Amino acid sequence: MNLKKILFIIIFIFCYYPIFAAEKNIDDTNIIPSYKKTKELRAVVLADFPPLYILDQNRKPAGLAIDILEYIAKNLGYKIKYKVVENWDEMLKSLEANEADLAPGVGITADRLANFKVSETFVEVVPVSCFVRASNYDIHGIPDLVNRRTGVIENGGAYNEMKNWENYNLITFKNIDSALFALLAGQIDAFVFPEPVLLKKIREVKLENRIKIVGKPLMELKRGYVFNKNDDYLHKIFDEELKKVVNSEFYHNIYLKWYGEPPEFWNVKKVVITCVIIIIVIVIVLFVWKYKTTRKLYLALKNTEKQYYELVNNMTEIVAQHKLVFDNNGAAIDYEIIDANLAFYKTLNLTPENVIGRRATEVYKTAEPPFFDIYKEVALTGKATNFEIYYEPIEKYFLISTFSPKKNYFVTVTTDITLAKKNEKLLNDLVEQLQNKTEEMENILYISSHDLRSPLLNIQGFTDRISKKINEIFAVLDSAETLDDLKNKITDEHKKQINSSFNFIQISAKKMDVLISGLLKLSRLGRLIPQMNNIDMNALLEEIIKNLAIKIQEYNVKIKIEDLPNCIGDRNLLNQVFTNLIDNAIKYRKMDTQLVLNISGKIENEYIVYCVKDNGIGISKNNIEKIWKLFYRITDNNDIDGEGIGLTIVKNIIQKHSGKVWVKSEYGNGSEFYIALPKLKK
Amino acid sequence: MTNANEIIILMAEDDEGHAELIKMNLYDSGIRNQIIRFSNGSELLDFFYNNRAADGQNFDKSFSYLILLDINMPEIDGIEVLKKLKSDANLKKIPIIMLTTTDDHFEIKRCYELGCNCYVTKPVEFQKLTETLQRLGLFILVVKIPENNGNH
Repeated sequence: MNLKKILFIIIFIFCYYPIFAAEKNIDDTNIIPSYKKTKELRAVVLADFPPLYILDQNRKPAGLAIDILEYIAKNLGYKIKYKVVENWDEMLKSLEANEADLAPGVGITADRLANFKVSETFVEVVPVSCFVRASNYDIHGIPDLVNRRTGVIENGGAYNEMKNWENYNLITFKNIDSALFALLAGQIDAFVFPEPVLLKKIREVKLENRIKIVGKPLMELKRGYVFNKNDDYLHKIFDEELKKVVNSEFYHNIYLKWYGEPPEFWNVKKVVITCVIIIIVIVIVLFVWKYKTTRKLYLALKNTEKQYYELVNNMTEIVAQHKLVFDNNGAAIDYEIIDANLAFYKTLNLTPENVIGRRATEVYKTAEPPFFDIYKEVALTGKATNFEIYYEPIEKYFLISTFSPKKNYFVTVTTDITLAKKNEKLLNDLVEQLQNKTEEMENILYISSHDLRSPLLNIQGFTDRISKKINEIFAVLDSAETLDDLKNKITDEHKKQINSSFNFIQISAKKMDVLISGLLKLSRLGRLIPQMNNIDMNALLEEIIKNLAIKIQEYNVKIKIEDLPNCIGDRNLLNQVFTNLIDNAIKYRKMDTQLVLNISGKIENEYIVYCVKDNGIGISKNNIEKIWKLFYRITDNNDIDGEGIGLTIVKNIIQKHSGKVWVKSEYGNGSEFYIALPKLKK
Repeated sequence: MTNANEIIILMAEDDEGHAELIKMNLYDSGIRNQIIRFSNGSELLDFFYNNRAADGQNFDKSFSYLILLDINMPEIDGIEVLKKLKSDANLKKIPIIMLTTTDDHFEIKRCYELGCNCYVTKPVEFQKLTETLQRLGLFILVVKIPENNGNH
């Protein structure tokens, strides 16, 4: 033998030894297991111990234990032959008598462990619990069963455990049904029994509400396979298979199949109720949240709104919101006031009831809605605008700014600008007065320089002339030898020229005096502040006529005075105005016609207008503006004396009264002088 | 006394003193032409248009005229007369010298715009007037140097 062969044998022996050894070992412990040849195992089972053992419709064994057994046997290559017995006693006796090879599911107790081979893996482990009637509230667990009627199954796990306990009154039953009935009927107080088995039963007979479990389980009842005391082989292979089975999905399914699904916690009713409760809770939470948020927002909004309203209401500006009103054809016909601030009601003296939701024509009592064209344009185009108005009923000026927050709506912000307007008018009046004054001053300066220069020129010219003549005379005096010679040389021409020159100088000086006194009069008038009073014009005219009585008589003037309205003015100044006008009428009367004067007055708008009408020579179109000019005289007729300041003074005085003066006249057809004085004191 | 070649001076002046001084000054300046005085604008216009006699003479188209026109006159003033004469095709060739007491630029401008030939301030100075007449080409026609000029 070579070494190679020896090594091979050694390895072969090492590798196969354990197999031989095991085979040998099993063979040794087995007497003559008949199933090894027949491949048929004899199993002893109970007829009725659900769900482990039951008989189906064909009186064939079924149940949890049977299914597991069939499964394992199939895996191991065995068939099963059943022996059905009535109770645990019979079952164990069959095993002892070797009438069966195994029992697939027996509660493991100490004496059974001693007398049989028991699998180390269990078919099931079930708690043995204490069942009482649902109405029982005295029993809270096993310890409370002392001296109470306690039901147990004959030779069952509970019986074996409790049979030697003192003071426990055990009542034995042959099967579950009778024990259950006794419990419900009140013949026993409690029934101690494997929990899942009884629960399944209870569920099947719909007694879930009548029976309950109390306290801790009496014990954990383990069910396993029980074999012949000497059958190590079967014990071993089954234990291995059982271990696999118990941990498999198959076991789980089988278990559920026989014990049934525990009633689902989530049945439809519960789901619906829970959902409803959840929804209600969510709704309440949402509601509360929403309320809180809304409340918060509402408060914030309210605060903002309050601030806004306070702002709007405390504004001096009148603020109002409007909405266009349309007719059936979609044409805007009016506008409605939606909202307005306090200033609106105060200014217009209205109340919200008479304003809000009403149409403009109704609120303002006008045929046409005020400024409708402007507002319509703004509300329809969204183009903001502003304009100024005078509101007659309350005599106020307003600046109206209007804009459109959205189509067909518009907001007006109205500012009372009466004061500003009055100030503006005052300013304009003052500027106008100042301009007039300046113009007048320039005019006076111009005219003064012109008209004063004219006589001055004469004075200069004729003084030169006199000086020339006197020089001539002096020359004659120097050269003359005799008095006769002198007399011949100083001619009449010299005398005449010197005399006439002096005459011109005198006239011119007088003319200058007149002009200067006229200027002084104007100057005095300019510095005078009118004393405004209510004047009875009829009385004033009466007084003036009285003063002019001599002149009127002298020129045979016919004066007709109508009833005159009163006015506000300076009595002395107005006296001068009418005196000047009457005086002028007399001056410029027609020589061949009796002078007829008509004095009338009426109220026209903001003015009281007086008219002095004559049938005099009238004023040509060319001169109608010149008559107001300082020192202007319509003719140089020396018969008509005057300074040429009468009308200038009239104009000046009327200007001081913020009035107007004008004339209507036609050359040859008399004149009408008009004087307009403001109705109100300014 | 008057012949067709001699220019007749027409003077419209409301102030008698001024008229007198101008006449005398013109005489002293050697002007011996006939001077007809009108006391306002309307009288002058009447002379042209209404055949009104002045100094016993009527308007004669065959004569030559020179007008001295005061601006400030009542009723119809110098400006209006100027306007009227210068817009008349028959009379617009008559030279017009405006007379005024002030040299107001605005007024001077207006007169030139209306077609006046010259503008002098009163009292008419010899120097200014001779210059004016020279410019108008009227000097020889109007001015005769007095024989005794320079002798006194």
